Amino acid sequence: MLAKLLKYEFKSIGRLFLPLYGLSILLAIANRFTAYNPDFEYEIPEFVLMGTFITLLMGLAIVTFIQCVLRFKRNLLGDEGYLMMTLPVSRFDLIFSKLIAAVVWTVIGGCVGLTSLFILTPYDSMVSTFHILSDIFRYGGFNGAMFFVYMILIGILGVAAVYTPVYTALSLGHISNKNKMLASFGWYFINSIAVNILSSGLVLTIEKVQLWDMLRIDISGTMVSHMIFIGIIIILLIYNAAHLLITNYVLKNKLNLE
Amino acid sequence: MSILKCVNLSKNYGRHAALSSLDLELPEGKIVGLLGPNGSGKTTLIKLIAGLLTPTCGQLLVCGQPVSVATNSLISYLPERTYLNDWMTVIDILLFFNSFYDDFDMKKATDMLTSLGIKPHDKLKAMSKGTKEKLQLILVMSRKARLYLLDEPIGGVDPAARDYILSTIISSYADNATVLISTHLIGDVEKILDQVIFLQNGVIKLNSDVDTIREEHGKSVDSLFREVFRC
Amino acid sequence: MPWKFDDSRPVYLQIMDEVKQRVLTGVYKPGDKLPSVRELALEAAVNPNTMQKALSTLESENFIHSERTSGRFVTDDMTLITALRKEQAESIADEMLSRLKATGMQNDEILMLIKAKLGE
Repeated sequence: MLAKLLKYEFKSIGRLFLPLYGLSILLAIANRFTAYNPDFEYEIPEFVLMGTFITLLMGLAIVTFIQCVLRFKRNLLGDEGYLMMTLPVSRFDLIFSKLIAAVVWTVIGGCVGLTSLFILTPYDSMVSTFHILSDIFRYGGFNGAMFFVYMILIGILGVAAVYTPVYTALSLGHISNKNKMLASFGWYFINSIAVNILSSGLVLTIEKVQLWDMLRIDISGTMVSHMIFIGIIIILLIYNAAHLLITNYVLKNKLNLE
Repeated sequence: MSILKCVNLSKNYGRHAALSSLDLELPEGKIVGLLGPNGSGKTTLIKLIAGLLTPTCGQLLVCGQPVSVATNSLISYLPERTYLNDWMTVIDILLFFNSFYDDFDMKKATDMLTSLGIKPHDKLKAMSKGTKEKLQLILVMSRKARLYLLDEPIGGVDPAARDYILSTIISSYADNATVLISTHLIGDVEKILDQVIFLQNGVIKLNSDVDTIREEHGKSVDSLFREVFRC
Repeated sequence: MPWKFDDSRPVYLQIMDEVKQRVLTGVYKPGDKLPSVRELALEAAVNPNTMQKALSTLESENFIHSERTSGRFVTDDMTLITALRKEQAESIADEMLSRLKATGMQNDEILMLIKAKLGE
């Protein structure tokens, strides 16, 4: 079921993003021949092309975020909700498919952005970045490899963590009879405050309890690094899971589609 | 067994009671009309059964199970509005229904669409409102569900289309399924109904067989409706 | 073409009348196989249960009989059909006579009128 939903998700939003990605790569290539080409000396086209490119990259980020958020709202809480919510699929699958699609598109968007930048800049910077990365991998051994794994996981969970509170806010806002958008913003605000309070509380507790002293085991610096990364990953997992659970509860038990 | 059972079902929006302590039981193998003026609670009741609204209180059972995602596969729902995505083509939406619903009869749907002159690669964006409505009806009636919920299927539709819709409902009849049609235009619909329920201000005013109404009141459901709901 | 029904009587009774009419006019000949309930319901644009009720009642009146696997058949009992024709003719005649009398015509005027009409 989830797979079917995902297939539908990618078919639906792909139509908007793929052209944008193509455009961004094209502009990067174009700029390579204008801005970064010593032989090309026409200033106005250079500025225009570069300006367009930068605007496009920023636009890509903004459009990706807004589109993924709107998709959730329109497809589940708007007219299409009449179709989606009456399908024989769990509310959780509906929500999760939206999240997966949002994360995937955001990550791809990010990669396209980075690729565009690489295309843009002189050959050397791309090569040296590649060398740095492969060095970490080759000489870092197990730890080097784990570093990549951690970064990837944190990246994915981090992107998810941008969307899950928005989904929660949209669902909670949906409960109100009037001014759902306003209510959603309100809930997002309250959620941010709550998260801040909780995390401050957590940090203070750890300090007070002097966790590090309690763990008076002889551990090396590398172990500590691993623990920190794993700790961050666990926190992100809990953060996302909590928001998903709340969203699921609301859509399952408090749904009132207009 | 009863396809639908409502016990003390109520739905409030703030202080407005859309449905008040409704008790209703529908057997299988019937085509039932849910009749009432606008604002009487017909759409509210249907959306509650479809799981799109949460009851304020009361029980709602479909084939003995409480309304939840599990009952979604037993129910085929046609809302009053278009819920299809404009970018899709006819074949897209057919494949969508086919992949999510085990009881979707692809052949029946394509036969019906062909007889209407609708082609697989037609885009929904280019269709008239009437054609889109017929498409939605075909999708809904091509499922072998236990309970069909049709919310105002013939409102704002030309007479030929209305006949087509009524024929489709008759020919989809199965004796283990029940069709609940909500409408405020009785007329021709009356002849395909076994039973009618009059709803006003969220309360059931009448629940009876069509034949009984004609025998006891000597008039059609349409006439009785006008009497009962006289402004 | 949906069959025509009026508002005052239950639909199933009107269906029965229509079927009997079709037998009398020869649309359904004695011994003919009737279309299925679903087909008839579609043709008449009525609820299949209503059509079923009408056909079952006709069966109990011996107008049609069903054979378990093959479906429903019009009776070939001519006496029944003839009796129905006679019954209908009498009721039409009764109605015509009462309406003619209501215009003020006398019996001999009525007789002359009918003879003239038949001669046409």
